[in-house]
Amino acid sequence: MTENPRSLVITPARPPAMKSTCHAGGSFASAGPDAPVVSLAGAPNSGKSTLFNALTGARVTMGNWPGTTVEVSRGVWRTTREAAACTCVDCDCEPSEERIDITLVDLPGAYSLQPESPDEALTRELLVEAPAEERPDVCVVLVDASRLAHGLYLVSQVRERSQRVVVALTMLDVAARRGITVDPGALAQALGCPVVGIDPRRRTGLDALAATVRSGLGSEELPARARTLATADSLAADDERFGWIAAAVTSATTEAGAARASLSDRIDRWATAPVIGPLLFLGVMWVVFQVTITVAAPFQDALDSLFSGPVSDGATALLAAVGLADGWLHGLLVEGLIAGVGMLLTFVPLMTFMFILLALLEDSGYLARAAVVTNRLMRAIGLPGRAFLPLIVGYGCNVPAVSATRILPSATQRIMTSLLVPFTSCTARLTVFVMLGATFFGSNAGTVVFGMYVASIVIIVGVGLLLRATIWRGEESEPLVIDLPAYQLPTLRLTASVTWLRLKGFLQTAAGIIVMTVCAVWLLQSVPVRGDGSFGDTPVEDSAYGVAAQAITPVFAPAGFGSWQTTSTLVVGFVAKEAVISSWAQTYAVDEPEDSAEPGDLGAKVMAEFEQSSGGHPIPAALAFMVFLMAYTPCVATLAAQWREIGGRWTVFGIGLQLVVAWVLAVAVFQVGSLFS
Amino acid sequence: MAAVSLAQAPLKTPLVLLDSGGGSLDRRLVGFGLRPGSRLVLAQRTAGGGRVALVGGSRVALGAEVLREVTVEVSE
Repeated sequence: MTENPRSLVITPARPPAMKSTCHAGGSFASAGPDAPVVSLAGAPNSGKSTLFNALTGARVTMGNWPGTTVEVSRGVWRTTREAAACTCVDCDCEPSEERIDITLVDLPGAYSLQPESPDEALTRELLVEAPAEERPDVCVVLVDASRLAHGLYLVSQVRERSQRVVVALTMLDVAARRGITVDPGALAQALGCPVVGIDPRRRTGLDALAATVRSGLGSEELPARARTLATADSLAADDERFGWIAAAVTSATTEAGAARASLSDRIDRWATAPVIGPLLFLGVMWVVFQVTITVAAPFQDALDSLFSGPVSDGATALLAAVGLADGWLHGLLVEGLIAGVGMLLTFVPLMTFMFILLALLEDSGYLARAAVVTNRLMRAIGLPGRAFLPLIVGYGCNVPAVSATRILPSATQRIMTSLLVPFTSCTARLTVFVMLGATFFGSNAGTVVFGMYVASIVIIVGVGLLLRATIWRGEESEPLVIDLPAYQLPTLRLTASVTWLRLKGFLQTAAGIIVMTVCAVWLLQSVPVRGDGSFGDTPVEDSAYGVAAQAITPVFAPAGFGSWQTTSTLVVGFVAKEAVISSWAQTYAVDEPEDSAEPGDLGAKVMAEFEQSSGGHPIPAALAFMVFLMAYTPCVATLAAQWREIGGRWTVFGIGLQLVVAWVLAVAVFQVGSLFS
Repeated sequence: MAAVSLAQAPLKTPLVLLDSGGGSLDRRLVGFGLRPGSRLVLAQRTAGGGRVALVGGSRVALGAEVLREVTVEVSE
């Protein structure tokens, strides 16, 4: 078995072992330092994560494995002797039932123990290369019964070491529909380890699985399987494994004649076909886009109105009642904390719809087909086909788009896509484009706004190629080899459970970052640096915020918008692009326009400012500003989502990348444009 | 029939895999049961120039870039 150096690029050090990390506590959920550790292994789409959710309920944490960028879920699996799979949240089982809490670790999906990706490298490290005392006490390997030979390849490798192994057979119903019957007893005999049939989606067979695992915990490790040919030659070793697998499949399965084409086969004739497949995919994307943006919008507006209206008014009235209506406390509470919490909560409907749709697409099996039909297009920038989905969603809102990168199978792909998502032009930026388009381009505003979307696509392709030529230089695009699992009707419980887990994870990470950043901006706007103002009552240009904006203003002079009034909106736009227009209105002391397509007084002020700062070239300066606005950091909520998905280091790198790309493009647009204006 | 690449192989015909390109692709295909000697049938063309292969009860989608690397012959 050869090490793949490519896989080590983002898995720099040997990760902490499963048990030592658990014993050390850390931020992961665990059943305690002395609790047994059970790992779930299996190929993608084998039902592993569904089983994990069914066994652990809400007692789960998700996060990157320490020292790696690979996401691993860990939870507590409560088992009792009588009701072996006790999955109740507030367990009140009788103590006499000898409850055992197990730390359950959901390893990344792996087809084999050959480290072809960071996910598989971590699985191999934890299951094989870790010292025996640090490995899980029991390894449960999930195998899809409808594709038995396929799933047993991982089992053949796991069984080459002495350890406690349980094989959990899933998709028995799909196998039955294909005329395949699997005998778990015969399979157990052939594999030399216990085999249990389960259906994690309907939560059947879990008691038997728990009983088998508990029995395994009290037993000696299983000896490694006898190999007919012990060889270092990988081809010969695979021959031996497939011979072992073929013997096991033959002894344990019976097939009822030639299987007729299944419903999945018939659907796939259309879903992956040339022309029809991509059209169907675009239709699905349209639904995702519409639901996440259009359907969520009224809920967002209602929450926004609630916080900017009754909640803020109530807080103001409360402070007035105790004589603090005009002090800094009012500013901190209303413009800082309430505005921050309100902003966070407005994302909840959007994220909920996004996570529901993702769960439905994953659970139904359609995502694998989406990967097939978009493969060729996305490979041009080194991404798999399914990266199309987060990028499309990004044109609605970058925050759920970054979260949607978790559908990608490898950590490298998740990082690269997360770095590209901020260059998709979200709807918050659209309002600013419309206002500037109407101000500077009159009847051509629509064409200019459309041009910004085209520019966004060009930037994504350009930055994607740049990243491939630099950071991921020499890394080949992963060839498309993907299972097409049988289509399944999504289950309500699974969809709700996965949605809640993901939403909880987002809120846990994003809450602190968003609220703290909004409060920090309020603080900077409240601290007087010059003039006669006092804390909480100072003109914005005399505040620390205004002075900082003025300090960075010269940086934007080559782009034609080097005035502090314009620069300060970019600082506000770092928090949320929705605030750019209101920030301008506040700076120029004019009313914010009701309709951004009719900018009125504000448009005239902005036009005059650009005229002055650009030395008489306002049109290219406005274009440069729009390009900068599109390419630099979208908002603090996107950063929070990135922080959760790819970690702080890559998030900071992304900020730098966006600023450099935005500045270079803005300067280029202005310098070239001013030659022709 | 002589050895041909998967890109040129006929649909709905039993095939035997002769060579899977070597290197990391080779190791990746093994995980899907595709190795020298494996029997497979190409079920359909896919968008982007790929194929869906039936192998060992699984339906595996292969991109166009994979088809060029894999050599097969029609099973007798």
